[in-house]
Amino acid sequence: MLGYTIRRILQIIPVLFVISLVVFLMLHMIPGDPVKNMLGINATEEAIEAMRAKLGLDQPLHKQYISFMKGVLKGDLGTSIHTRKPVVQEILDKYPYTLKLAVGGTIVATVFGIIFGIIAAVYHNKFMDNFIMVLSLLSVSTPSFFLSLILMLIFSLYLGWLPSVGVKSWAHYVLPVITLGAQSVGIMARTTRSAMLEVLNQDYIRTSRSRGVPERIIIYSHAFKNALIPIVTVIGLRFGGLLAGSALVETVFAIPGIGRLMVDGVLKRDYPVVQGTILVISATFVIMNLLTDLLYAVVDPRVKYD
Amino acid sequence: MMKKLLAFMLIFTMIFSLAACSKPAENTTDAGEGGTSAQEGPKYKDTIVFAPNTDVQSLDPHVQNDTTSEQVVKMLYNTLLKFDENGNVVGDLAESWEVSEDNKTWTFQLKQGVKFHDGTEMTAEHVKGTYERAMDPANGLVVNEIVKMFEKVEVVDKYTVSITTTEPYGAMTSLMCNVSLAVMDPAYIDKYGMDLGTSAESINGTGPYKIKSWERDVELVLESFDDYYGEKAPTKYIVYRPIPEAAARVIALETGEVDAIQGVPADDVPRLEATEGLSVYKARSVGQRLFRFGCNDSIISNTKVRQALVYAVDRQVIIDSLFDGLAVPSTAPLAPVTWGYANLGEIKQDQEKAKQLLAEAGYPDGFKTKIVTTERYAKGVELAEILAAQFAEIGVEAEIQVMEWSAFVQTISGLTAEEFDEPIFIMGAGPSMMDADGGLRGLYTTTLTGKNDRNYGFYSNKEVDELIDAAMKETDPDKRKELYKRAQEILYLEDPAGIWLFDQLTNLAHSSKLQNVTVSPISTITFEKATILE
Repeated sequence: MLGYTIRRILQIIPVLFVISLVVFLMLHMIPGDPVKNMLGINATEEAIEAMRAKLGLDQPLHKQYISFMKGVLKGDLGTSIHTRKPVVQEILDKYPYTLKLAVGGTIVATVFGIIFGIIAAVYHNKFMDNFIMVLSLLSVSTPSFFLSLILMLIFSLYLGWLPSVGVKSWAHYVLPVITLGAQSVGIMARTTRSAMLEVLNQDYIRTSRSRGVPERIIIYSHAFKNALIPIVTVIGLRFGGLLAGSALVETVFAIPGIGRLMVDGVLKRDYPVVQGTILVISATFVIMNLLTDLLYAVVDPRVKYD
Repeated sequence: MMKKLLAFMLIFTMIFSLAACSKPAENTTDAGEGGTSAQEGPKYKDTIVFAPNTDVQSLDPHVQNDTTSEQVVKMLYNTLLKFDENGNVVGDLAESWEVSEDNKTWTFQLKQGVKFHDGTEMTAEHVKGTYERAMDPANGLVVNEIVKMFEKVEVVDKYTVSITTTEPYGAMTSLMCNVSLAVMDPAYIDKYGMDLGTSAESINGTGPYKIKSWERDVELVLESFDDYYGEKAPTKYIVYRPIPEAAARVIALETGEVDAIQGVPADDVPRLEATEGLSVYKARSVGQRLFRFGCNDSIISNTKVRQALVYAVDRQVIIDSLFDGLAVPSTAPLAPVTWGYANLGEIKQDQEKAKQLLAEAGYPDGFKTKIVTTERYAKGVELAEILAAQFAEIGVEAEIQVMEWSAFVQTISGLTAEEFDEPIFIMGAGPSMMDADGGLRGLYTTTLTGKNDRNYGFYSNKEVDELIDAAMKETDPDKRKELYKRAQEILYLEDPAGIWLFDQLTNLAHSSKLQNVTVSPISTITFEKATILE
């Protein structure tokens, strides 16, 4: 297990290297110039050249990349062109907000998704099953942007129960967490349902039932535990995805998370910010995948890594 | 267990359905935080919460380049001169000023006892240090462009400073009102360099407010400055809480979480105006929306073709369908609030005349062209679509190219005539110095570098060049106005540089309890006199 984990961690290094190279090249290939963006449409060529030199953007591309990678090895992701703050600091400032949203969203999705999935499986092909499946389809297909505004209208404007935007208190996180969670509830419910159905149709369940084992024990002790692997996979993927930030939800609720940082960086062509955030987001995603894989061994003793 | 789960699920579903059916409740959210000032008569809150659409980019007067930053810089800093409510130039940090006989040396007598937020007294050395930073092109600052004619800045004595220009400059007093030339503390310039204005501790101004805290994209808090040399600000704290999404901004205003919002979508204005407890303030601004011509294009370079396109457009249709109540048809290449504006009247759509002009130009069956636009400007794509439809009616087939802002900025300037490929392109215009010099020179005068620079569309008309140059050097206001009037006549219709569509109104939606907010013609919103009733 330890050897496997170390091997997997070492594999992350080339992955991140390739990602950094691709992102660097793509950023410099797309049209747009951070300096023109910063100095505005009326800036003189002279001022643009002077600022470009100051920021080191007049250097050849390969030198810029080597200098960026040298910094990365020392834990320095460069300095934001726009805010003049170290990118590491920017990410550390924004990450707590994204983390809160990701944890909250995952909890909402997991709790409701599993509950709905189990109910649907238990009432397979009955009204409740169909009802939940329609709801889950709605949840997956409702755009987060739309859901955010609807929730705001209802709970902030009409009912006055919750604040609409900002990050001042825990209450500010309720609506964005529900929005993010709602998107995953449907996927979670569907995954749980199909995993449960597969297990519930197996012989040992039928045997247990014929031996008079109570249905509650069959569902939670026998079936659910054995249906966990696909569920854990989806939880891991969704959590990894949420940790990458949700630029849309963060923008609508005015939450300064990592997703917004990255999108703003792209729009302003703030190269160091985009490179830094994508590197961190990719690393998080890869690590989440690794943790999910390791978790398989915990939920299913048959899974062994060596 | 199953029953419990079912019951829970049903309750969950019911909450949503009930919520959707319920009527709007009384607004209970407190708009401000903190207590109230103990005063006789009407009681005021000590905090105003304002939601712009974006966070401040930079609080360095020499670097700031957007309305949100500019309006906060105005609260923190002062300029030597300023515009009063009627648009007249009056002293701000300067007590008085005079110009030499050759109209090249301007001497400013500074007010005494003006304090920076850290307690340092403002003197002529501060003015010199500030302007010399702006004048050095090696610093790569946005402000450098507007101080190009400054030759030297000298300290005459502790409270007197003189600025010598390379040639007489008629718009000098307007320029000295520009917030980009706010007086800074050179000690901070040396200490923070390029990082100046990017954090709360790097800011030291003389303005009515000082910075209390700044967490980027979350909240920026200003606190009134007790030692301010002018009239003290009546409200202790001004909180800027950026909300990027327009619909969310409107909801935050309606719930009372914020007291005022910037950038109200045109569609929401009538509803907000009808909402009890809310008001929408609209004011004339220097801002105009136009589509400029790329005069390097072989077809567009023909004056008659450009005139035809100018006549092809129905401006009222555009305003009614996209900006109802927030725009008025343009009447010149400058808005009425800009000094030097001459009313040339609204250009009405005249398709017959347009077709006739096209025929005279040698294109009786029209031609194919391209309109370049960006979503950065409000309804930029819709504007291009309406224009293309109206061009089609006179036989001109225009393909629309939509560009993301960063890409647009890169393709619009610093190019040669061979490289530039935008026959008709969207543009926002409005001189922040509120003077015709800022609105015309550079933008429509022939470029000398061979690249388009600020004259994005390679417009070139000898008479316009001479008029704008003469007006710049002329210090008699009446003569200057005459020169600008003639220049505008040419730019607007005789040899058009663009299709001027409409003048924009600045809007501010706010709680009716909020009073005395200052909305300037350059669309900045400031709170140095503002109060909010409990």
